[in-house]
Amino acid sequence: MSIFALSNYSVMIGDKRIVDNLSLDIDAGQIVALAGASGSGKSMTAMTPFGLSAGHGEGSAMLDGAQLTGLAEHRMARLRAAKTGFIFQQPLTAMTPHRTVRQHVEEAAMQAGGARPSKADLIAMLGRVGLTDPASKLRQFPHRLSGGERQRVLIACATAHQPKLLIADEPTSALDASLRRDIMDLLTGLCREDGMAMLLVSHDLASVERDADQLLLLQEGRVEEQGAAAAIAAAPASEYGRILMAATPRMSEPMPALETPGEPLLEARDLHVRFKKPGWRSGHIDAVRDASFTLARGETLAIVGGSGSGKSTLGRAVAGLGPVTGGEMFWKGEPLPPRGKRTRAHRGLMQPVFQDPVASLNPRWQVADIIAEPALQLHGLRPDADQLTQLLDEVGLTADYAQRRAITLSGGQAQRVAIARALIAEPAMLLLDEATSSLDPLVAQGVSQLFSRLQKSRGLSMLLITHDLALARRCAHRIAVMQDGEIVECAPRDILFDAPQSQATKKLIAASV
Amino acid sequence: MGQLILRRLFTAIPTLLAIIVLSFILMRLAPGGPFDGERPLAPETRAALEAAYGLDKSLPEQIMLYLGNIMTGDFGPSLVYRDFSVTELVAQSLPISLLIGGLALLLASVIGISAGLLSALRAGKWADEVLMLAATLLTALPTFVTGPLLALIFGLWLRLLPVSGQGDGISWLILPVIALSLPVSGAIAKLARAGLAGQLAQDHIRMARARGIKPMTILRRHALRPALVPVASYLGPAAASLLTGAVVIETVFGLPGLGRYFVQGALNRDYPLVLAVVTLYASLIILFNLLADLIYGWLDPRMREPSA
Amino acid sequence: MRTPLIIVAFIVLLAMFGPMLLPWGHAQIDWDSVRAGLMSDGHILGTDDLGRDRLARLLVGTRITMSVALAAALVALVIGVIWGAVAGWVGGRTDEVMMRIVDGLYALPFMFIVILLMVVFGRSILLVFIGIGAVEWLTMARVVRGEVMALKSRPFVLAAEAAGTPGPRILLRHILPNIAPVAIAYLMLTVPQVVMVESFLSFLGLGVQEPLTSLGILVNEGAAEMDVNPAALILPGLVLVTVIICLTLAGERWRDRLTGTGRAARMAPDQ
Repeated sequence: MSIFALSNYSVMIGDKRIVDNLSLDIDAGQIVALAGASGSGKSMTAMTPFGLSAGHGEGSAMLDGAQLTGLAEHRMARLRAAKTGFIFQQPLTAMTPHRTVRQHVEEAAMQAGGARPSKADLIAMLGRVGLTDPASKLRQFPHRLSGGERQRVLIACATAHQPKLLIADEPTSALDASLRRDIMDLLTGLCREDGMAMLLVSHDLASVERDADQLLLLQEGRVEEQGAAAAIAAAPASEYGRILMAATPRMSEPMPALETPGEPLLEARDLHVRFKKPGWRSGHIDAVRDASFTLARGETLAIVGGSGSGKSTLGRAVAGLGPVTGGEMFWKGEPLPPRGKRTRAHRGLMQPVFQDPVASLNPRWQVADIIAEPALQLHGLRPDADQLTQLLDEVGLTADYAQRRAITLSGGQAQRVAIARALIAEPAMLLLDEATSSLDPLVAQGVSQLFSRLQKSRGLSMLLITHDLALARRCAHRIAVMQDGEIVECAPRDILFDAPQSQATKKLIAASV
Repeated sequence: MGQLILRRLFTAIPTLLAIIVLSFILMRLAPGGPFDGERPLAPETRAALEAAYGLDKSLPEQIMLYLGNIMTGDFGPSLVYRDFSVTELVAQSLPISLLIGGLALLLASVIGISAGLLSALRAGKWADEVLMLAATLLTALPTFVTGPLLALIFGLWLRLLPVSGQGDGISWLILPVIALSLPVSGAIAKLARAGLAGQLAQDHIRMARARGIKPMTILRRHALRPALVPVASYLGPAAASLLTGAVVIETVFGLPGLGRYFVQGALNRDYPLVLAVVTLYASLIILFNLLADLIYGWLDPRMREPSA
Repeated sequence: MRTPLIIVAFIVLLAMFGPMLLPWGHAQIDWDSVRAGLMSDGHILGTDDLGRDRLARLLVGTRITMSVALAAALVALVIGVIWGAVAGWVGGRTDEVMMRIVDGLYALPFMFIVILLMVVFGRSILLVFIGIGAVEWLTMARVVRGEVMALKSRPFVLAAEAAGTPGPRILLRHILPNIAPVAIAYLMLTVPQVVMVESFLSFLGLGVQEPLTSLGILVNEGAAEMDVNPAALILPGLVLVTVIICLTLAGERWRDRLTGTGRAARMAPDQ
């Protein structure tokens, strides 16, 4: 029984064809996923048939027997109210700030003309999506709930009126790694139980393979490959499919070999970072407690954990870019002072690469000046044109990039410029603070490979801060797992994955794909 | 909520004190006093007068005396209008100013919010362009230009409405209130439009649309309250703007309001009167800011938290 | 969006150079024609009740109003930027205190304080500049502080620190160039505010003194004789309003383009 079917469907914005000739069919209880890089048109495909995008649809779009293409908005709205449920990417902004959880769920339950649910009904609905203590949560405003809790409430809202079709647009990408698995399992479970069809949009291939029945791989609006999800994941037929599958780090892939590290360089002992609670609240937050680790020449140490685990704070504390309230740091046995007291010599030892490539460059400066700054400040020398060209070449950019303004660069290009800037002062260590997390999977892979090359050629040590355990598995010699500010486990790669000791590590491994 | 009010009062009281003391000192520093009139006075007469008005004591003493008196509602005698105490003058003129100001604020809010919301709903279309141009025009027209102009057109040329003084009934209120409300309604219209336009682009509105909820319902339930947040923040500055505008309007239309007394008092060195007005106006603005915060908190629950 | 700026530029040029082209000074009394009508006896706009050429007074008045406005706005800019940048950059306790002061001052009925100052210290044109500028710096300080704080936590500032750049140099070369556009936009919005304040003071008889004149004074005089000569009110009123509107429109467009989503760099798609 086909719930939703697209036949030769295209999406146009003005004259531009954003999605070309796509066909899919979803039965009750079935999950079909649209995957691809950003800009591939997957969100457009999911939103346009229902009148929720800036685009205009051509071709047939059938929802439970009704043709959607060309339908007037008010009729479309009635169909949406009755037959579909939507889940978007950002849980916080999808909820109206001045309405309570109760008001949200009630409105959702009544949107198709249903009766007002009783308090007991509401509690049952919230309980079903795994919300703890639903009775007291009813009275709360959205900003008081955590990201995961909000997404659960939104799932309850999307399913409250018994829709036939669920459309989930990147439902877990804004959530913590450990939550993602739980939320996806919840969604797929609800679909199977209630016989709902689901159209899932995701850029996370690794988890799509696990959740979806059918999969469509899109690139720039064209379907590159289509079929059973498991089959495609195991053996992609198209070139694009192969590249995409290879780009995403997965737990199931073989661990690539790494170079042997040299002598120990950095040591952190019992580091402690404490912040005062913001605003008028009294008390402190211990972002990092008793953190100790070492880093050798040519070694990559990954610090892995969810958001709030303290990994970024620890990384910045060590790099002299964040506060340190206790503990000590050493470089080659000599004490390494905290942020305010670092000399130019200290600064020259380690350089950062941050998560947001565009925000890490001064938008008004030229690339040449951006890259030159560390050399100018730390060594007092301005690099000449040849040196710049050489460095740009090393990070994979052509010489003409030197004259461009930072604001004109794409994410991948900007990150390469940031890496060049980090390298010019010839540091011994790089701090990579989620350096590939905001990039497209293919671009991220390119940057990751660049890091590996640089490590080999320059013998760089790397402190890799990431939430992606699979990525750590691909490139780190040793892995430290953090939770609630503490390093709960630190072990060489093989040992960590063969025999994880702590609960946190085990949960993280289970949640990663 | 209670925390918010306490915090506001906490900063309000020292501010008020500072204003009073500062103004007091400024007035005393001014060259020339109230007794340097047309005829020079004999030294003894002068000394007696000064003693009678307490002007011979030291500055800190005078301040303390004054503050003490204020607590009991005694703002002292007017130095210019010799038969009246300041409290009497204020009691006489404040109601008029409050009436005009209050009505102007009400009118400005109604017009401004309606226009702003309409503009946002028709964003990009000609109605939006026209309304917003009109709003900018209104904010750019000073009251001392619009006041006389309105008086000219409706009073002298068309002979429809009175232009001076209080009369019977309410027709004397019409022109002053309209003239006073124009700039504020322009500002409110722009803020309301920005507020709603900003809201309509938000994810939670997109979510409501995806749920198939009717547009009017979306507006009423989901968009309206956060859209009015910028307007609520403007209440404090709006009050200040109305108070200054009132000075002009009262002068142009010959109304015996507090603003006009203030200007006269300032020019004639009537210390107690000027101080009283400054204190009063400062308190009013502080009150309005508190009101604005309360409304803001009602509109957006996130503001009710004490933390940043 | 060039039209409003062109109009203002035109008016400013006219006000600056126009008086030189006229045979009459703005304070010069032509005993032969008093209260002359339009286009009579060599006075294009006629004369006022003291026999002074209206056109000359209009042009000079515009010039004075614009000069005062610009000077006061610059004063507000300088004070506001310094205050806001220091508060935003240093942060912590210093920021709290500095912003608490701004909040407190915001509550003042500033107009009245200025009037007080005028009355107390007499009417020097310097005081007019300072007094008015002092009113407007608060908004500038708030805006600059907000921008500086937002920039301070951006990674490129951290990267500059990692590169060994000392604090003051970061402020100068990284932060200030990035707040300059916003500051200028607000400057453009401040000028019309100041024009209104100056006019208001003149209206009350407290601003610019004789023999100098300003648009505010001219409007005041015009209002007094509006029943016999409406042009006396309408002409200066029109110039005043035009200048204010044009600057406001231009300033708002620029401000909207530079703040909020306009400021975020648009990422080109990755190849």
